[in-house]
Amino acid sequence: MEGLGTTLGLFALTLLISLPLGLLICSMRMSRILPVRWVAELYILIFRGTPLMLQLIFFFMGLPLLFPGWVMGRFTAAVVAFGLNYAAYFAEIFRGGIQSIPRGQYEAAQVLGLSRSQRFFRIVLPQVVKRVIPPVGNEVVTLVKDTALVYAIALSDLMREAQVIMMRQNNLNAFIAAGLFYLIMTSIFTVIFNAIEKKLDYYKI
Amino acid sequence: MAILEVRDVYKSFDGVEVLKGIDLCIEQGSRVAVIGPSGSGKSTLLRCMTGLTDIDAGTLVIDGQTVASTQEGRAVYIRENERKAAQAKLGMVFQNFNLFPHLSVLENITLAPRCVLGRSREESAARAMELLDRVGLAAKANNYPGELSGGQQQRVAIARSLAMDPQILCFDEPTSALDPELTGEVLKVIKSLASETMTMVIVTHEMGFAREVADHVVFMDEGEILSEGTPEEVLIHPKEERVRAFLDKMLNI
Repeated sequence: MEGLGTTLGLFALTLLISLPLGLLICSMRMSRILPVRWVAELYILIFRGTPLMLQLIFFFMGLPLLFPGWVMGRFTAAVVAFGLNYAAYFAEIFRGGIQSIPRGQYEAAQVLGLSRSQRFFRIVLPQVVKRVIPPVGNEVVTLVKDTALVYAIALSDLMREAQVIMMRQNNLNAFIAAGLFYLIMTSIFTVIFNAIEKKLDYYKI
Repeated sequence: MAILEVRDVYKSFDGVEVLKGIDLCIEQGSRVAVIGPSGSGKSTLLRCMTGLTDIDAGTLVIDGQTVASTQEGRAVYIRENERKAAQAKLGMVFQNFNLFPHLSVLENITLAPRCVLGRSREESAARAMELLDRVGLAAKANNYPGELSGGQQQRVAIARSLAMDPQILCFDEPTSALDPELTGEVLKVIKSLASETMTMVIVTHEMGFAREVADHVVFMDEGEILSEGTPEEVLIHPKEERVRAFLDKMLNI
């Protein structure tokens, strides 16, 4: 059951890193300073454009080849790869949300004398949250299942443990248990995100 | 006394000249209607006045304070905070209302007085209720904009502008996005403001309304002011052929 802890830990830490990092990269991606924007664009290109498994293997095995002596533990490498990868997706989701807010909203706020930060935090952000909840929920559910990819660097997560037990016991029990666990996790998050959506449904756009 | 002066203002977007040397003087307490065909630069002029768009060249004077002036062929604005203070004297009502959908009607009106003027919740709410009463929507204070008709939304937008105590209220085609049967209620509210000696600049396609409410009419075409004067002079006995042609087209629909 240690594998369960690994899966849950990886899941939680990935969200903890990728959500704020995604916001940062999103703001860089929308920066007026071109080089800053280029950095963010390159980041998104790389992390969205290559397989997560490739990134996982790179951080665990590739980096030590580049910098001999610099070794990351399996779990750390997994957290870094997942965090950086998901941040790229969240950055693009946030950007879509921010850009979907009509210009008239900014203009009305500006004419009323609201400062830049007031415009963002009082007018734009609350509306962005409502718009990005469905795609963010989608990513979170995907992440629950993506954690199983860590088998590529031989990290003992729920999936891998289930496989080992299955081979040992020569039956499907552990395998079914693992499947049920993923199902329960994704169901819980689906329910949570539906509830948030419903709570934000007090106004129509 | 002129509360707003626009002198020799130029503005282009991507090489297309939208304003070609606009001169306009708006007297305190006057009600100016700006008319003219689509794309003639009416809305851009309004946006330049309210600070939503920066002018390329020319002079902008608000209530005696020069906000922008031409130096070496380009308009230079005064310091950001001074400019903000001067432009706060202008309110704006948009064609598409632009109410904040996530805030209730009351919050839409109280947000800026609280955030910008630092008024208390109670004070701003009391004032908001007064304004809502004036536009006939006191009963909708706790509704959200999405639950209101277009006409009601525009009336809330007017109340929201008034809450900031502007000296000049600008209307950018306030009824163009409304169903014909809803324009009446909005025009009625604007008319009631007109009788309260508020300075108003109204970009509109409603010729009858312009004639009734305005004491000064400005006709714009292709980025220039072609004609201006009393409604009588511009709308009833237009001297310019171009104005006459436009009015004929507008009135013969």
